[in-house]
Amino acid sequence: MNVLLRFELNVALAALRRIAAHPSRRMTWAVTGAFAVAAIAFDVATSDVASRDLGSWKPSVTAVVIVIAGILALAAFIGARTPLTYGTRAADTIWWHYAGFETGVGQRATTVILTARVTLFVTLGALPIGTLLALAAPQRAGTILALAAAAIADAGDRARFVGFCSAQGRLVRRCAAGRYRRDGSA
Amino acid sequence: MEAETVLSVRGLVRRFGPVRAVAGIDLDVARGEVVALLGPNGAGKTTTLTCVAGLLAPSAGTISVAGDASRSARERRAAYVPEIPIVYDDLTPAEHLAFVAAARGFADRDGVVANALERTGLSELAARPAGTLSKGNRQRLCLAGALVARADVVLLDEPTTGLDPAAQHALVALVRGLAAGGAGVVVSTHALATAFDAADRIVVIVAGRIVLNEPVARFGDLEALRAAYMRVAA
Repeated sequence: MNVLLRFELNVALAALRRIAAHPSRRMTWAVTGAFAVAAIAFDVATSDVASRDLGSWKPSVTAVVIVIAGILALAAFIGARTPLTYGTRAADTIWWHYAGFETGVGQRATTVILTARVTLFVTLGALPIGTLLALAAPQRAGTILALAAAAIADAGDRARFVGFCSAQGRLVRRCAAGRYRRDGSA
Repeated sequence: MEAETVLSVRGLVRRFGPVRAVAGIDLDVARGEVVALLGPNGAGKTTTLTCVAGLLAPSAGTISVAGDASRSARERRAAYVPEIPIVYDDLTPAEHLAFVAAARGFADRDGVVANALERTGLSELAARPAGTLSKGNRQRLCLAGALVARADVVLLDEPTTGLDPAAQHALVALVRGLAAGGAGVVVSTHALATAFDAADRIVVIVAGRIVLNEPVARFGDLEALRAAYMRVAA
């Protein structure tokens, strides 16, 4: 496997190990995760039928495929065009140089990495909350797009990504508290 | 016999909009030489270093590392240690260096990593997450990265800022060690004492131009260096 991809995996695993080993982080993530699950369950359980049958929003399979393909294409586009010195881990700027990788635009290995990161963050970050918002308030498509844009802008920057998750958490809580009504008003 | 020039900068200019941060710098650094870059805040020292490292594209001029003037050569052969040493908080020093060694394709990776850890005094901290290291030790880790990379040119930006005297002394020894290993080293600093102790040559930049470029031996003692600096930079 490409040494850069292996290293990327290593960084991710090390971060997970540290989260698992650190009592306060473990608690933070466990509570956040539990809260998110509870919020979603609460929303589904207490909402009317509209929430379970997607209300009046009945996307065709073609539309769903187009949306997913669009997000992946956007991630690939950004991955191909953006130097890794922008919007990603600051440490990459220094250590990838030591490793001899050219971090300029168009490098194949770095493009793969950035595309993977963007896709991952969009998928794990924006899509769940996007789905939840779509269930709760289909009219809020603009919010979904804004979240996806925020996830892309913050891809790779863990500190800001945590802030992004926190913003998602606030939205989940607002949904759970019924502040987004079925008619889309807040 | 004259030492091989490992870094050659000619007519370097870098503009940020209407501002010329670097206004035409010519600089040669030989293999095994340590050059101290002095100058007031905003003089263009960091901009010069980041251009040399390939992190910033020059507006004009050429930069050759080991005879190769491409940006790609600068990215591969010049190692930049920023003022605030940046590391992967969750990786250990050994993991950082193992990555560099693997990417560089060394057969004896463990040996290369162990040697770099030992030379930088990080052997005992090899298994600790880098995020828990002090600033001085992070700096050493970055230098260890440059060692493993076998960089032809090592660029250090304000390396002694925030370090205690013992750590500063250790850093000077490390810089000398890098030069002894054959690298050309450029150190940007405000600390005249560090420059005097570590460098073979003093270069003073003011408003993006070199106003003094002399061997450190010319100054005799630190006071003479201080007087010369104040004359050109104040």
